[in-house]
Amino acid sequence: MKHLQSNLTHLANTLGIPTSFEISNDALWASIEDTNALEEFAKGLQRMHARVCMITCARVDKGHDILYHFDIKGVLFNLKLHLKTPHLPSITPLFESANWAERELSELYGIALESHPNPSKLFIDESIKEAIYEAYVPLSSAMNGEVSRHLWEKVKMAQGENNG
Amino acid sequence: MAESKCILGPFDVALEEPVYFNITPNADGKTIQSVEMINGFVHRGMESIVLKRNFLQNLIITEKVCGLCSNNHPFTYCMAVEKLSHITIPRRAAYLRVIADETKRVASHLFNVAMLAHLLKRHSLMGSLLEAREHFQDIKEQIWGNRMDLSANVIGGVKYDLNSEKIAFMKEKMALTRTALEAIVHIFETDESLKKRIQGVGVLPHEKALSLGVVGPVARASGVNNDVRFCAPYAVYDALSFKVITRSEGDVYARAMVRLYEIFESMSLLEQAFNSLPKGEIALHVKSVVPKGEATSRSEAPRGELMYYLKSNGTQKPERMKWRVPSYMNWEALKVMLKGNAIEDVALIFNSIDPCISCSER
Repeated sequence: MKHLQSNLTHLANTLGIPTSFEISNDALWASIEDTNALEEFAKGLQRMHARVCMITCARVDKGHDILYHFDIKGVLFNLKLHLKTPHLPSITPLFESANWAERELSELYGIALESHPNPSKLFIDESIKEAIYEAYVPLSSAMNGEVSRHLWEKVKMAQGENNG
Repeated sequence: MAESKCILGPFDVALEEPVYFNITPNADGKTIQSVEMINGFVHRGMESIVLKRNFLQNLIITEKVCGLCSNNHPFTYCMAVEKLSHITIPRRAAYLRVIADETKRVASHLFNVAMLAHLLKRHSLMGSLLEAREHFQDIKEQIWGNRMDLSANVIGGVKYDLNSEKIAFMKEKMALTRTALEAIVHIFETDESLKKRIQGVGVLPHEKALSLGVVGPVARASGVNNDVRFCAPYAVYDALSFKVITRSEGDVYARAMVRLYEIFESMSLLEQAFNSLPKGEIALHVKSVVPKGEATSRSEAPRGELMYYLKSNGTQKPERMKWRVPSYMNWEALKVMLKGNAIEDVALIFNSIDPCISCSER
């Protein structure tokens, strides 16, 4: 793992990407700030025969956190990228293994993929807009008395947004 | 010939789970030009549900993601929680986790190959495979009290134990399965009509297996070894010896043979685990609050690499929890496997990736 840590540090330095690679919980972790640097860094990972195992997306206060989970010769490398706007350059042209993971995060979080070869939805019918689960209130919440005030605040807030 | 489309679904033609396949035939009307899939019929939003439950409750939910891999989900989830909590489980518990997992692998692989025999209309062979599997179903019922969900794992260890009588029972049943399996493998290796029917069908070349990132027996049948037990050992796999079964043909036959030979390896792992099972505790007492942090964990499920990501903010519930199942990586490979193949081979090829829709959609 330390050998890989050294190789990745060299790759980031060569590309002028400011980051550090930490070993924690049996995996390597790093984060990059610049979305534009992703493609160049991903090309370097492709040369190292990386495989995309999974991509995790999470909504955070200002935007989204995207966490790429790569396998490089049995070592797990987790690369975090913070998105301020819901636009993400696709790495599927470099890694076919990222195909479904990118489409899923686009579908569930409403993130637009740039240069994805097939950005169609995976799970939700094409007639339903993206990020629908975030916009609608699930029945379990709607029927839960404890959350009624919070629920109506959300609905009123949405109405306020719609009314401008 | 006018363009025609063949729509199969919503039930998977091999496994009766809901997925739509839109298959476009070539001009000859007999072979396949392309295939598209429409999923989402059993999407349950489980990654959202788990954020509303505490870490202990989520253990039960992970057991319900899927039936055939229902041990790997809690197993892998527990490993992620234990990493975050800096817990090292007792050695005996780690062995017991491997025993539960390899038992499930044997039953899962036998079921898949039995379905292949069913699709080939070789019902005597299918019966033999299911009878061989039934010994492992008996094991599951006797040891864990359930023929599908073992409920073996807890955070910090396991909640079942073995004694000499139970181990003797498992060994006795394994011997019956081994004898039956030797005869079944002999049929697969010598029955020329069977081989001719599935050899060269649904080929996934080595390069495509690598680029698509397929996992499990689908990868190994195309010569790609990304078996997590071998490449990134967990539990006690580094203390046990086993052979990773790979083949080069990448067809339906190769995928079946990989599974059949992996059953022998699983039974060897079980034997080794029985013989070196250390004494000691089976679980640690664990608090329900997990420290702040994030962790990833992986295991080799019957269909391949299963991965979990867990983020805790120090409360009783996870801040983010995500998992990726093996079938998720293998669906796209169908497009390669099906292209140019005969339409009557569709079911055989679908079955050969041993797809799990319930897992894929969560």
